[in-house]
Amino acid sequence: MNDTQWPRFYVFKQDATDGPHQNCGSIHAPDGEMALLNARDVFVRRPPCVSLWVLPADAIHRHPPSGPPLKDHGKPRPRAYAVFVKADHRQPHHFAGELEADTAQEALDQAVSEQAHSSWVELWVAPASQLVRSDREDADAWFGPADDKPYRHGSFYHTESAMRKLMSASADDEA
Amino acid sequence: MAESTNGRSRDSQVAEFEARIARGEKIEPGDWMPDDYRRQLIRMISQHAHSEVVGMLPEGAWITRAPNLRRKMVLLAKVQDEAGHGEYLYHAAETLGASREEMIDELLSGRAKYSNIFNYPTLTWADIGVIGYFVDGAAILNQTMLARCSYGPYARANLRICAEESFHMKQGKEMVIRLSQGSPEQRAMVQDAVNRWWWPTLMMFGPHDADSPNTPQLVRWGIKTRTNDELRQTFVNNLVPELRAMGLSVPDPDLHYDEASDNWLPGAIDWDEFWRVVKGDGPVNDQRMADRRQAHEDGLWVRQALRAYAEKQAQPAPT
Amino acid sequence: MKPEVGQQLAAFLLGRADDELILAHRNSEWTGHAPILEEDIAFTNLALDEMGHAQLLYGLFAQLTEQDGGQTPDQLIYFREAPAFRNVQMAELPKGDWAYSMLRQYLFDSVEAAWLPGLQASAYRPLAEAAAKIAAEERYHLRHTQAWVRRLAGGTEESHRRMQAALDRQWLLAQQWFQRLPDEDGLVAAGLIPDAGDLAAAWSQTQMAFLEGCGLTLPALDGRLPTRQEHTEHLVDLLSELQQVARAHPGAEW
Repeated sequence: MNDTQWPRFYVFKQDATDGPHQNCGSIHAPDGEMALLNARDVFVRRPPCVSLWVLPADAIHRHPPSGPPLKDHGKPRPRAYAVFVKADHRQPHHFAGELEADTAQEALDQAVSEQAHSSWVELWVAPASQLVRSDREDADAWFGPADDKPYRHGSFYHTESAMRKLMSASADDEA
Repeated sequence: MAESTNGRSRDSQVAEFEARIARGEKIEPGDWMPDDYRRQLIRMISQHAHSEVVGMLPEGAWITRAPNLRRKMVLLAKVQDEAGHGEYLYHAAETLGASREEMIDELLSGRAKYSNIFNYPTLTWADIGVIGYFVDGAAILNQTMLARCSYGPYARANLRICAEESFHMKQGKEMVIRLSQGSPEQRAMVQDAVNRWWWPTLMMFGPHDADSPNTPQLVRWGIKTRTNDELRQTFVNNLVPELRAMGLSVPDPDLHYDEASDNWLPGAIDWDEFWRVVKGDGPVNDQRMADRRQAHEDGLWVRQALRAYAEKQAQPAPT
Repeated sequence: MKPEVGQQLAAFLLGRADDELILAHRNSEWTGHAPILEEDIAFTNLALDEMGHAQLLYGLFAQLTEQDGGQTPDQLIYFREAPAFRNVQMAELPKGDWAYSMLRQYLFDSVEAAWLPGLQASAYRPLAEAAAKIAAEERYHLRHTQAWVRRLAGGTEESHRRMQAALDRQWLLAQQWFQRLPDEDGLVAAGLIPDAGDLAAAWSQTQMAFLEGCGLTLPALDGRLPTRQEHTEHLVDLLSELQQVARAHPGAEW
């Protein structure tokens, strides 16, 4: 077996319950469970976060397409697709709901027409079954501890006041 | 994406690309970009990622010897962040089409570079404070600039990194202040660390502007917005008054304050040393690479095992 | 709380604090050397959490021994000699390969899962509160390490072999976490800690089911268990590194 860095998973983070899940980057993992666990350690070392999703990169179909079209997994049949929209260049992709379609291409076409009312630069669709989501009831255990490590923030270190004291003391010396 | 064979259309694509950058627009993964822009960025971003990963080694070695529990936890959190920064940066390079397998292979084979500063050894506990104060301080200046760069994913990665890096510099500065005001042994320890890390940190900003042929194109492409010398001068101006206030000396007999420009002007940098270390002849280049190769080789059975498990789970159940 | 009960509880907590610290120290040795970048972050996070737990527990020990001129957490960590440590022996052994470290951490997480509910119900409020904080982080730890043990046991022939070798070396020593201290009955009677015997039975059953379910074979439990007073030379090596800088400058502030 050759050596790989494991498949790539995109990570989506929801900072507050009234906000959308947003793409914050990607990580590598051997499967969905490990991807979710690793995503928490890579992206939620500092608050806030209430929910985390991961999605295999190769499950994503894009519009406009960037390369040869991805193959659907399995025969056409109705299933749920998650839709992610990149509103403009400065924003990451955000979750824009689910729709039902028989194939990925159909899902993309449907998403394009559903999103016609707003401006966007790129759409993603992926079978909803491929999304791995953190449990809401785990939110405390998973994301709470990030709150408890104040030493991860610059404000924990009183370097400015210490330096000011030293500067004024040495100014006094030189006077 | 294939290059257009129509020369005029290619030129106009480049012109439009450069106009977008001049307007302050971000270039995103799906956008057209010159091959050279893509190549240079992949090289820059992957080297940045490699630096974070290799940088875990000199500091990671002192976690086991941190002299109190608070420092132990702070150092562990810092090194963990650095691995996280490596993640954000590999991701940014992947959005340009690079693969992590290739990037890691280039690092371990010696073809890819990483920041020279990590080819110097950490010899005492005080080195940990000085690295945070000097090296992360210098990195913050560089990364603040890169957070405005034209390539969207790299700019955003640097924004996230800058937010986390502030504590990295401050925990180091706090240590240096504490040591400089401590026992005679502690003062001697930190002065010795300052003496060893000052010049390599100045070299982190790269060759003088006059000797940096890439800079004009990187400026036109919105990747560099401040020159090497500008960043280096800002760093020197920030640090020198603070070091003096702490009673620490800078190992540069030619350092002097120039009233006309309101700058602390350093003496001549030993560029021979810089190039020697870049070419692989630094104090611990071999050690760093040996450690990374060892970790990679030792981890092979692990990476393969988890893939094998995932493949078994993905197989449809026998009917 | 009667003074001698306070002392006994302090002794119980010192053992737990030492477990967390020594294990976290061993785990931190993987920093920069993990099999993949994601685990450099994840495993150091486990270590960081455990150090936080050690800090909490040493803090409780300090409160309970204040009257006797108790030592601060840093004094306990940096200025005790090996014989004065009270961690279980397994925690101080070298980190071994990735399977060894991951199984050891998994067994520790599963032991914590067994103890923490009872500790959260402790009649000593500060302990109940500390246990609640620790329990929140431990839920994530257990999920992480359990996922790893399952995957290494069921991955390749090599990973299975290494995981089995680790279990062969760790299963007996893991029982030490349910070993009763001399005065534990009093602590249980006072509602300060749960009963180790009850916990051990439930834990063993769960572990047997899980580990055998992963295709691993549990070794026989022959052999004498060390006590928390008994240590190996590995602890001496560990402490000489851990305490090196602090001891070179006694009384210094960092």
